[in-house]
Amino acid sequence: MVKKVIFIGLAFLWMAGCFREKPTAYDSTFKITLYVKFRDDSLGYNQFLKDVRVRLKPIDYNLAALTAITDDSGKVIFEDIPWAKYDLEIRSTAWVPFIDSAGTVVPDSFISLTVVDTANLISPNAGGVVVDTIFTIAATSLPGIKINEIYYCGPENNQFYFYDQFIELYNSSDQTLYLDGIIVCRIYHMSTWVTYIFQFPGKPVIGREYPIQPGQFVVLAQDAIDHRKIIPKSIDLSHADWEFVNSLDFGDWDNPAVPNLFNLKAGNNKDFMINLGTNVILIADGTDTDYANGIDLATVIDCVEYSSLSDHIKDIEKVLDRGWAGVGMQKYSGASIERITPGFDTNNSTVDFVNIKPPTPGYQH
Amino acid sequence: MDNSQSHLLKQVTWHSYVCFMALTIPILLGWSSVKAYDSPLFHSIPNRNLQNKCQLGLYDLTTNPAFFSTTYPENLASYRFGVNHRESPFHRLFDPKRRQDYQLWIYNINHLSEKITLGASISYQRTDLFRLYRSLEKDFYSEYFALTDTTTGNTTFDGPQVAFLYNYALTSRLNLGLEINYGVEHGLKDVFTKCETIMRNIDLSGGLGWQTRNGKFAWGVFGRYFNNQRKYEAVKELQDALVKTYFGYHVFKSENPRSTNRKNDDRLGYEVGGQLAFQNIGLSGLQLLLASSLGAKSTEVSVGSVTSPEPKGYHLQEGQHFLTNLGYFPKGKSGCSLLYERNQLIDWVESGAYNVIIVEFRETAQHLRLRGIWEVSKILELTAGYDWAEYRDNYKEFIQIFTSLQTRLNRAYFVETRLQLNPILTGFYRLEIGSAEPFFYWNTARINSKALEFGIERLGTFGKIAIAVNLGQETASGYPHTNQLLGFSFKYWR
Repeated sequence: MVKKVIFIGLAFLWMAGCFREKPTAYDSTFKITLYVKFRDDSLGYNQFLKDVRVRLKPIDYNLAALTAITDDSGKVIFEDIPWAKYDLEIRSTAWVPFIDSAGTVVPDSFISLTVVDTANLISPNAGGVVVDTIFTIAATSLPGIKINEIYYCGPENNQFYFYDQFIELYNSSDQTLYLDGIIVCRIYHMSTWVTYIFQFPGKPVIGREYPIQPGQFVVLAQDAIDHRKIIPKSIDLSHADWEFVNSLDFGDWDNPAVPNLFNLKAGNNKDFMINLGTNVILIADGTDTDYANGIDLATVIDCVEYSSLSDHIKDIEKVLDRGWAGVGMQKYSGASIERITPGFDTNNSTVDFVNIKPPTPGYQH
Repeated sequence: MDNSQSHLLKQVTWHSYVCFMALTIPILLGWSSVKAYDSPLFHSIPNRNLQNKCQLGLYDLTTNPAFFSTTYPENLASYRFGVNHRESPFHRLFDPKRRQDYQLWIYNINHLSEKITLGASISYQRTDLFRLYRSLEKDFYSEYFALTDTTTGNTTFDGPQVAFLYNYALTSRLNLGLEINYGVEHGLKDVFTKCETIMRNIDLSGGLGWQTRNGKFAWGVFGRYFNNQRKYEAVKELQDALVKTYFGYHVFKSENPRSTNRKNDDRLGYEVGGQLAFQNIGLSGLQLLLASSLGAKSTEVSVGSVTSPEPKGYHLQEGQHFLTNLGYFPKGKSGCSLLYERNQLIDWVESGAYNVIIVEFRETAQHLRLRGIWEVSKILELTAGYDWAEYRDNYKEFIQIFTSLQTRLNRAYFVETRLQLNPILTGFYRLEIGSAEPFFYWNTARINSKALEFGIERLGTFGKIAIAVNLGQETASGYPHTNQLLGFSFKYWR
């Protein structure tokens, strides 16, 4: 009997050992120190920025964002903040010395720049103290071929029909540009993770067969048919300019009257279908089609991220798109996202795009 | 198995249930609700024993199954059905506005031989929560990690529970007791996210009890292990009713919309304790019990997709329990008892993603219970009681700093009369008045309560039948409306 009692006692001691140790640290003790730097190798800038507003939005909790201003050394400190991952955002005007074309700093001469960060997430380390340098770039975007509208959420229907998706391109420059060899990608997560890659015919960069005139819209349809015949509240894409076709997808429509973009990804037997809630669409000049190691950022022409979630975590490098469009979009609502004005581009889809209904393939809302 | 079922009575940490402690337990006529939902770290002391009497035995007070056969020396078979209805215009944000409980309960005690006693019960419970605002939990406030959506709906929980108790006399003075409680419960919300909850709970205890031949002294030791699992599945229709996870009561995180949001809740715990009891020492009818136990209980919660839910946190509750009961029952039914209980609980909650504490809670609870039973004559019996409880609470949240330091006092008085109207018919009533200072999230300084229970008991050829009606009222200070309680119960036993 004594042995049994001892055994039971030991069993309970073992039970007590099953529980975890109490942590020694408490929440709201996390500290982040950031140095904000503006870097532009082509112009010769590499300096810390003062008086720049830095905003941290917690990802792990629905809490208000934290803001602070950098000091003279470009440093900003967030102390005693919740342990969480933070989405960092810098969108601020900064004064930097003027550097002339010879690369010389002109004394007492400053220029104003709108700078944006290139960082994605800040995560706590084990010690709860993070020190990092944040590089910013100038928030400018040159005119050119832009992704002007994306219709992804499907028409109003209860049959899960979404094959009327389209992407609209726009030439915002004052020159004729060419679509030859341009690739259109669906990105899953960061530029290294390409889900679909389709390409225009022609030779990248040098091809001159498929022009897009200044101010012209070009519609790339998933299936270039009149979808209203299937879903009455859908749209007519039978007059689209281009159509995504995958020869391995035997059920894919191919309108012979519409030229095709072709699948480049080996083994992909799907049409160019994009997510109804969250995704990234990227177009690049087509000089890098080796999708396995990601798309070379230098070749990217335009990139748009969309998500229906206001607290979405970025799926693409901020240097390509600092925000995301489509917040609040419902699946199967028959709405699309379109730039505020044709070709309007600040590299931040949150401000560049609006949700519209109905979609406007080939024209501006 | 009233008491074995009462093992599962106190489902929540002390701070969330105590405010109605005095009132609701008598109204429920001893039967409890939410059995498969959870196991508390320490059991609460029932107001009455299995025979519906205020005089509690060693098993009732300690839950050591080794004392079962001595506490209930007679065979007993009982069938009970009860309904309770509660209208709560005053309620916490995530509480239902109306609640209905149903219970069907059968229990049996059999002394098979001088050595062996068996107890068994089976019950079915159903709880309807009406107009439940956002909460996907059965009791939002008993969870440190709670799910909500954006809808108001009705949720039904139901399921069977079984309990089995085995008592074996190893020697003439040493008893061994084993007890198993097992319950499953299913919950479903009637609007999207149509959250489905599946719960399973097992509570095992084993103990030894030793008594001197003259019964003047007894000691006991017992150990208990419990294990509880819950799974929640909130789905969506075309539009999302956004699911959120609360961390404590102030900070939440919106979960990503997905076809199914899953919450897994795994708990386990143990309790070990010992008892010393003295009887008829110095004075005939004098009883003294000293009991103490300690235990711990952990909860691990993950929320997310069905295939890969993310860890949300870990909760550990550690506690110590001390109880002493002094009773004096010299002859017959008349007598009095004084019970003192002290509980000390320490909770800490760790973040699921980082090794830091996000919530900490400490509570020291003291409870004093005075009972007096006076058998005025062979046909009239009076019982009066007073309950006093003090809670010192220190609740802290660290994600966003929140602190609540409270010292709360609860009081309740009751008087009960049983009058034998004729040789086979007895009438009874019980009147209770209480007041409670609730925990901070009630957002009121005081809740006053009144309750009345009345009924009749009839002796038949095969046993006794009792019918009782319960009425209750709760009024919160600074709030104009009154919560109403109405209950009905039917019992047959022999």
